[in-house]
Amino acid sequence: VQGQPESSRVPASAMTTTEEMKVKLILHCENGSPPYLTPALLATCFPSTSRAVNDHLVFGIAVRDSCVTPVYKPKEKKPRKTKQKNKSNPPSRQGSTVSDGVSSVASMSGAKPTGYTFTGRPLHDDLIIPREYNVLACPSFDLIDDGKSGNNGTKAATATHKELSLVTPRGHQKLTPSLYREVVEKMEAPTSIGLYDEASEENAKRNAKSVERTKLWLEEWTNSSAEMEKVTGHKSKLWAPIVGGADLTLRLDCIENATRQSSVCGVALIGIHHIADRQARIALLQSCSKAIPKSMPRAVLVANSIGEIMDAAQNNGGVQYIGSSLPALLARSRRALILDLFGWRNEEGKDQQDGDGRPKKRPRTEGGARSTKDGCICLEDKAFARDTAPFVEGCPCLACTEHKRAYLHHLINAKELLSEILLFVHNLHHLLSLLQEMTDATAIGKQMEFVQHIERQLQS
Amino acid sequence: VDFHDADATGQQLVFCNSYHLLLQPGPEVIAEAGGLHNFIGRRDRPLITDSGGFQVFSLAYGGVHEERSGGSAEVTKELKRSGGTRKADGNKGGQNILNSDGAPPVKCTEEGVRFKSYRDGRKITLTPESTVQAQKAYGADIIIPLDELPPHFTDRSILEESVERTHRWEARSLKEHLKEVKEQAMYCVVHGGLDVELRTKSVEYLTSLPFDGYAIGGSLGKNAADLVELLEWMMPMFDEDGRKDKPRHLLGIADEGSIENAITKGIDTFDSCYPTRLARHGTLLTTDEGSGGRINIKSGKHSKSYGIPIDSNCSCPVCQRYDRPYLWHLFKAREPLFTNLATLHNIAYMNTLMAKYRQDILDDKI
Repeated sequence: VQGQPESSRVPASAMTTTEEMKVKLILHCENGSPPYLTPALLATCFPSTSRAVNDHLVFGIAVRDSCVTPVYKPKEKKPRKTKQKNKSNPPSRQGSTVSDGVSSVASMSGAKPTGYTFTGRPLHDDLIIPREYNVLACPSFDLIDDGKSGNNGTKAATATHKELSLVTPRGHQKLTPSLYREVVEKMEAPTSIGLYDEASEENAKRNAKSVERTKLWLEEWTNSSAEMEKVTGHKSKLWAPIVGGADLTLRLDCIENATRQSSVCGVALIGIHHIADRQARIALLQSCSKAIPKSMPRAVLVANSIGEIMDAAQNNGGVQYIGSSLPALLARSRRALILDLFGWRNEEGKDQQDGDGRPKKRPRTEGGARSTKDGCICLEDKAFARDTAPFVEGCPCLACTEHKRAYLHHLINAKELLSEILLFVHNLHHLLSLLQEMTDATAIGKQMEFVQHIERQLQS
Repeated sequence: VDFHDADATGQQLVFCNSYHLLLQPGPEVIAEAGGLHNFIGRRDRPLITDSGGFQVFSLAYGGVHEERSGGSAEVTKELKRSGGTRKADGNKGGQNILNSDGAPPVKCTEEGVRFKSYRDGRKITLTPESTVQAQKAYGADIIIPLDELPPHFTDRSILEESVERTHRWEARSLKEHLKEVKEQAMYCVVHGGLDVELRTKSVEYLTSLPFDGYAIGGSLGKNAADLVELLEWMMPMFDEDGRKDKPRHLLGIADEGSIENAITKGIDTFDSCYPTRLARHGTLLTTDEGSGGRINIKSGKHSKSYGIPIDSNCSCPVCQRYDRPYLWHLFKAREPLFTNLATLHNIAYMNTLMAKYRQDILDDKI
């Protein structure tokens, strides 16, 4: 409620359905597949039937990551030299027919691509993402971040009203609203975030234009729905992207426009994490959340720290879906999450049961000696060279049940890829458990206790 | 790959290099963890470790190719260096560090072999006894005694001296092993290069000792044809009474042609990093016709082969789920998942191949 101090949050009992309480992770699947996870590891470590996966995990596929395909121009055959020159019938150039800018496989053998485009392939039918898992498509997880990670310091995405020039692994590639729509429908993504433009907050004029374009492209999506469904045979649920940087007015304008469209089923707040000041970020989230109808799912792209995730998911942030690359980011920096997730339950000597009916042992708290403010330990630290404990005592993930910290330390020193795989498995498991605990806490009116329990560990 | 994935493809024996484990993390850490099986989380399948000697010597002068391209095919009386100075840090599997005066990085005496760690440059001595003690700490199911690996191109007198020393080292290793067997089997390593007399002498001597199995090591020739010829005349020596019931292992060979030939000559097991190394560099093994036994996934021609797996006859999880264009994409994007999937497929391919050979033996086709 506006004007109420933060300590007096909306009680959980005011939530109308359990589904609204569930906080879900939209895991950034760079390059189209769950990172590091072979099919067997995915099925073993994150079975679709488990509550944590079913209720809290969505695979996020960004078109800029995984839908860029090469284009080949056919080789032009040189005209045959004839003995008599026929002036009335000049020799014709022959080449294979090109459709949609893509030549036949036979003609491009050994050839270099002449360009790139975006092509959608069915996610589930190709069995890259098994059907049992939830999937969401988007143009990119964040256009500004793409620019920072682009090749040779490539500048961020640019746009006109007609198209967006995305930073992809193949350089800047143009993406029109209709092509984007076609790609996500061919991917058969159940849910898609619409095409958006995003600008850094330093440039107010560009920021305003980004909102204009995003609104325009949203309308184009709405207007082309019937036709696209006829052509592709699929209709993805549309979530409207909400851009505008730190400008609340622009954000609210975007929300108002989105919620007016009948085709919009949810909203995605883009780029909130670029707001450096935490209080300003939380205030913007709260204000945007109030403007969104309660029944409409809302997402944040992205939140790449535990603190940001907690801020977004709390009641007044009110976000149910949080896009993040955190498990992979931590794995690449050799860090493992070690937060105590269960201490808030405040029941001594009693083992809880998790959602799958298994006894939930309380993980050992690290004690602050080696953990840092991000809730992690760095397994590269020499202190772990002989540590025969798992990352988190009692954690049921594959990495903790099968391996020890000393082994991970060794793998890191040996520069083995397996270290990142195991760290990722643990971090994703831990993050899903965190979201599950948060949901459970909200359901029994103890969200504040849970949030404080986690925040205390991040501050220690 | 995680062992869950690898073992699901039928992987049985896994080879762990003592050389690398000695330098990182060290036998003490592994012993404290309860042995290699516990340390790596693979408790119910067999492991084999070597003495570390092969890497010490081979990293000093490289393989046969390096010897030849080093410009000298003549007799050498000392170990040759095959590369320039490498950095001490992060040089996984790299060359041994040169001494500051440029002297060879490896010194071999009757006591053992002394070398510098490629990780931090510290001096390390391997003796027949110390390698066994390290392998006891690792706790692998099969262990290997210390042997000396001479260069392929060497004087016969040098080779003979090397074989004699290897025999003395292996006997010392065996003696150390028998002090406390710890349910481990020790295989000898037969040497002698391509010299009939020396190989015969090595077989006769080592099979007279109570080793549990026989590994064929040393120089196996400069190419597959040399190996064929060597096995042709050497393997019948293992068919004599007292020897024929013990397993025979061929060290460091994994190309299909050599495997098939070696199996017909009586080899039981093989080890190599070849299939996984190929995978990391984008070469994937396949039975598909017209591919010559492998595909190079980085080639653009795979970017549009929609629906075509690496190997249409393969039932591994990679071929069941991913097609060539997607793997091409992962490779080009330098996605770690590519390394994982490619390695898994090549491991599965080799295990399928070996299962086929086992069945061929049972069906009397071999």
